[in-house]
Amino acid sequence: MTCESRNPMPQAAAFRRSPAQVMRLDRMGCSHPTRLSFLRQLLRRVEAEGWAFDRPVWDMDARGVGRAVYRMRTPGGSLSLVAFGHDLPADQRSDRVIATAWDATFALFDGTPDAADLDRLAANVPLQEAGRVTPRELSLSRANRSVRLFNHVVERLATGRQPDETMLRETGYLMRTTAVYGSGKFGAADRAMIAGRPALSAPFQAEMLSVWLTRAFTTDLVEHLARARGGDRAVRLRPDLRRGLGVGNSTGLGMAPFLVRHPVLLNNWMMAREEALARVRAQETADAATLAGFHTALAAAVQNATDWQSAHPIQQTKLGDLQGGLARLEKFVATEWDTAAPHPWDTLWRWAQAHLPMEAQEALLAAMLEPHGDLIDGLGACMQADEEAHFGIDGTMPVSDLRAILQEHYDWAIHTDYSDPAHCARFWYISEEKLEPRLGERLKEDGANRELPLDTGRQAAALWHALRNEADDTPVARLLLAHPEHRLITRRAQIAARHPFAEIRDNLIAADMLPIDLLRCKLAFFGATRFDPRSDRWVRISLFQDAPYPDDLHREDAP
Amino acid sequence: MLPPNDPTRSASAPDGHQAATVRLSLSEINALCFKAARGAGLGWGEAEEAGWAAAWLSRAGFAGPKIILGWLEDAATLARPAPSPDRWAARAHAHCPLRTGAALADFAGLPEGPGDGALIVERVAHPLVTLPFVARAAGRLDLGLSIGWADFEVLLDAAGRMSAFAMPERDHREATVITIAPKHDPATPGATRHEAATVTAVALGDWQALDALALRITVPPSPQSRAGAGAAGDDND
Repeated sequence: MTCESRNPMPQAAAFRRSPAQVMRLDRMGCSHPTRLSFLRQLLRRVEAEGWAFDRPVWDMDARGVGRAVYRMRTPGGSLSLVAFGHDLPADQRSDRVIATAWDATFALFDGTPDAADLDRLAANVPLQEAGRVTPRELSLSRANRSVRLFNHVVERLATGRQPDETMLRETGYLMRTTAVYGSGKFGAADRAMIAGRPALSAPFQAEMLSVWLTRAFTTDLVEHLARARGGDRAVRLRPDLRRGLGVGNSTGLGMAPFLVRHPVLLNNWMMAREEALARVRAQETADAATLAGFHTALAAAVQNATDWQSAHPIQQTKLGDLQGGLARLEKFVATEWDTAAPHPWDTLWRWAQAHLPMEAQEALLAAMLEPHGDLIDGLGACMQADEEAHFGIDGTMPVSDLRAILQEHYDWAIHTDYSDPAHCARFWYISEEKLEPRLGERLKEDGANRELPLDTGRQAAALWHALRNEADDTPVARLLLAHPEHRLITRRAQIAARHPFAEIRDNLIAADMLPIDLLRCKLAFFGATRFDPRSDRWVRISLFQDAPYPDDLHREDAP
Repeated sequence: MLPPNDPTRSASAPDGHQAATVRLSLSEINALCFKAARGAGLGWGEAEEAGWAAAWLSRAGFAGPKIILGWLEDAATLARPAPSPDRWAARAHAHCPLRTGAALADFAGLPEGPGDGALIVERVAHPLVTLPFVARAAGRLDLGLSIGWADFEVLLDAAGRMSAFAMPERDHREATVITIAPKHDPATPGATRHEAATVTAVALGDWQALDALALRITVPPSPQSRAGAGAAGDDND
């Protein structure tokens, strides 16, 4: 990790979990958002720097068709979400990436757009993948209404009433985004163009800002439609109900290959979180304020586990684990945990490891980090990655060293028999349809000849076998000249040697692999809650639920 | 069932109203050339190098996608190098510039690679493709390197940055002898080429040809493929 040399707490190293424990899919699939999650980093910066909000354009008709601009003034200049509302027939509403029309479409613009910018964006943003944006744009996204709740809220507000609270809690959002593209997609600014700007240097800050402003758009839109329908009878959404609404997100396999294709980035995310946990465990004492903060966080985790609903059997089992585990944790904390003894956080963590299911362990991790902002928030700055700096292969490395790397970091992979159908049942591929990543059944579907290289374990094993015939002192350059087919995994292995959390230590083509575990890990780093699988490879989540709105912060009447 | 989209509209399609070029971001150039190289039959690891090289060239002011496309059109007939100290001799076929480039970077610091003294590589086709790799070698060696052929020479400093130079009016496709030599004390360029220009406008024909190669790695849709990809239920709830 790039920040290693500046680590102010080397004593935490003794408390770190090993990659062999952390980088397993079942545990990654229990990830909870923490205060290091990207949306939390954004909200902290917005607050600390006093970003000011306004809405210079609101040009919407009675059906919600039109355009709006949501602007944040940051110390580094303005950033504006340009929103387009559309009239979408129900039969065209699909969350899938292969959809071609949406209820609303968005771009995050670098600066304040003028009329010509808005016209240019109006000609392209509603087309999404079929349009083009420019380096002035930092993200491109779209959202669909959660129809039942959206209509209910508009109807109620239009007649002067507040919406049903149970319905609001159950769904939790008025719209869900179905794709948020950043980092150079469709002509937008490359990551390298914005990575040097403090406001955007942490991962996915442009995307998170876009979603946060989209949330404000969704509540503005229902109030606008209610006024259009109800006139003077219409009321605004009660602030506490409004605050409980987030933005949904509906996502599928498109997200999964990202974690595999960005090993240095994944390492830095994981390493920051693990270092944060280790720092907390390394604390010799716990003061009263920190303990109070922990109790608050734990209570919030219990409430979250109660509110969190899913109809999917896998998730229902996990929610049972979470609720049961948190109940035991609360009891232990109340009756047995000796907070006056040395290293109380480590004591708590060790008890949890021995007594709680994985879901509750990872929830405890998030709760333990919560009251330790001063200790860990700086790690957020270590979660980006200069991936190009780690792209080159060290060809001078002798084969004996490469072998040792495989033994140390790919032990989970190199002894597996990948000719066994259970160990190679799946293949990842890109569909012709909008280039959507998908997962196929090797023995039942065509297309395995176009398989993506996400079979990291199988590739490591193939390299391991190839190395058997090589002399110890053969340089990697010589090996790759003769065997270019091992170039990708050799690069990964060299990266993994320097970045121990770079590699997911599970077979990603196994019959029992669950893609939603990959999604949950990535989405937790975004800060997502209410993870709700709709299949083993498709999920809905919520972002920014219970967070402030842009107009909640820095109002003139704020205390 | 939704009609399948035209996949050519999903990646890097042009605006429509200006058809001569399409402006791609560097990450799009990388992804396009990565997929195109794989579609042309290269291994995944080499395809990654091709994508990276295309973006590097574009950032350095060259028409990266055009250079990569030119090489891919000839790639099947080109040979991998046989590194040996001082001179990499060509045999029946001209050298593949990507495999030569990758080997130049991989062998940096080894007796066969760039570093001590001049290294001559015979008959490298599309030699511009090797530039990013010589830059990587310079970085790995922490040593300035020059690379040249015919009337063309550039200096790459120890950070892999390229000096400004005048580009000869040729397309640099034909195989040529290239020479790589250490420059222990290269003159500090007033402006490096990296800071001077980024070229991301891609000729429509080049983009279409690369996209056609990239589409070779995609799988045609089937009912089974569609069925597994989305939510189990309806999205209108």
